Amino acid sequence: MPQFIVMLRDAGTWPGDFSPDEMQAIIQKYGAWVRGIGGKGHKLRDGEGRIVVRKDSGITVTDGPYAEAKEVLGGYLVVDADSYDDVIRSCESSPHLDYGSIEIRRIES
Amino acid sequence: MSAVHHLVDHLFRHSAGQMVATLTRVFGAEHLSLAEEVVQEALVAAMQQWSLRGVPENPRGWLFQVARNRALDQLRRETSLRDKEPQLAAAFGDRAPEEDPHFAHELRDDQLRMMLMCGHPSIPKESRVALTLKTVGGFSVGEIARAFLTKKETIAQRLVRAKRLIRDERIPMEMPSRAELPSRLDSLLEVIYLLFNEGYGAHAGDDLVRADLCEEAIRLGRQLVDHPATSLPEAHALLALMLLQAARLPARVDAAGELATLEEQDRSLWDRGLLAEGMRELGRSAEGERLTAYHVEAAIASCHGVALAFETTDWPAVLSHYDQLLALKPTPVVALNRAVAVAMAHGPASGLAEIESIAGHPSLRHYLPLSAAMGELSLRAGDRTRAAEHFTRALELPATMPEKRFLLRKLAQCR
Repeated sequence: MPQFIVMLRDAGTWPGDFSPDEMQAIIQKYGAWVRGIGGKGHKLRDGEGRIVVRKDSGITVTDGPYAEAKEVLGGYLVVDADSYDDVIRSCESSPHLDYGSIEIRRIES
Repeated sequence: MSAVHHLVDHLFRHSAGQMVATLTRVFGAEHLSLAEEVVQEALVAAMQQWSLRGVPENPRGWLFQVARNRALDQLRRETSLRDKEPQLAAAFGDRAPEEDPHFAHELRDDQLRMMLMCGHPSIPKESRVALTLKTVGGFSVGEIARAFLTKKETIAQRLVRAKRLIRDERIPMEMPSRAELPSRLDSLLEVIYLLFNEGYGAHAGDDLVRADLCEEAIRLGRQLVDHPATSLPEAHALLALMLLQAARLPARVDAAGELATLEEQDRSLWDRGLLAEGMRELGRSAEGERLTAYHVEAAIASCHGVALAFETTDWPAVLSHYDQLLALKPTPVVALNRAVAVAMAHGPASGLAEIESIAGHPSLRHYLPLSAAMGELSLRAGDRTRAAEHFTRALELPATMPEKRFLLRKLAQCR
């Protein structure tokens, strides 16, 4: 079954300042990444994707692969599904749409 | 400076690069100088008209209109350009960019194409930097010359050479292919990095920091990460590095105008906004498969940025980042900085031993930070005589005035 990555993006605003704990968290993320390089990665399929956004008028889906440039990746999920439509359906009720958009990309198998 | 002058100057910095980029796309890269002329004329016209009749309601829209009309005149004059009229009309809409999201989007793309063209690897590095400042940043030849402490003629030559290469090598102003983009981005990042370092570590004269260059480098870095095509981890890493360094600039010179070392700096003066933005960018850079020198240098800067006091700096972490940096960038200068981190983590004697192993390198022979670091570490190790020798040696090298006064102060401590 094809695999999709569901990326949760948020609006990319940041506080004018960070607490020491928040800064430490970023340093830890960086450290974990550096240690993890060389680990197994996934190749995303080029040139395609879907962006799911909730507006006042309801759910809108546009073709990817680019989300709004200002948004940052907040987290991600990997799901098994038959098609983009299946993934979109399961994202429609996501509370994440209160904060930002969801980008879906198929993983090359 | 009159209010009108001031406004035009401000608009110039922010709009000239955009207008030149869009016009160059319409005219073709070989007509870059023509695009620059048109924009220059529009600015002169603005200055004259606004002084006489007052500033229009939407100055930026007005400027774009005038540039468009001047460009039309040019197209009608140059036979080879006559067929470009529809393209010009399409590129310069009737509305100001702020009112037209599509137009704003196009402008952003044009600017990126222009940056990538100016940073093309076929153009020699020095010319790349000058051309980027001129066409993207809206710096005048005189300003670039001042920033690089060189003659106007030298800069003019570099610009001519760059433009000739664009024409002769047929370097187009367009987005590189997906396969080509990473290496083209690398070349552009290098330009921005040079620009920032030139501003950050002024080599001589009275100005310790030429803030304009740092600001421009950061502006270009922000543009890269704002564009989906170039919002890649290494671009975030370079921006993080610049922001984290720039955050400390307000404290680098103390109230009396003297150079303050990292240890002496009043950390409450650090720009918390830049620091937070830099940390956010560092977080964003930690993706993908490639660890670049920008990543590691940003990580080092973050260790300083998060330390509330010099004494609480995580020196072992700094040292391990320097180990990585040395592997990525095995230069004597990096080795010297690493040696200072060794001294901070394991004591001045270990640091001095590290420095002595690299001090004979020819490229460090006239390098002021080498003698300054050896002086400082000797002083910390309690060897005042040798410290004085090193500071004296440092004073013989070219330096900025604040640097010279700093070294004299250090020399006085050796007595």
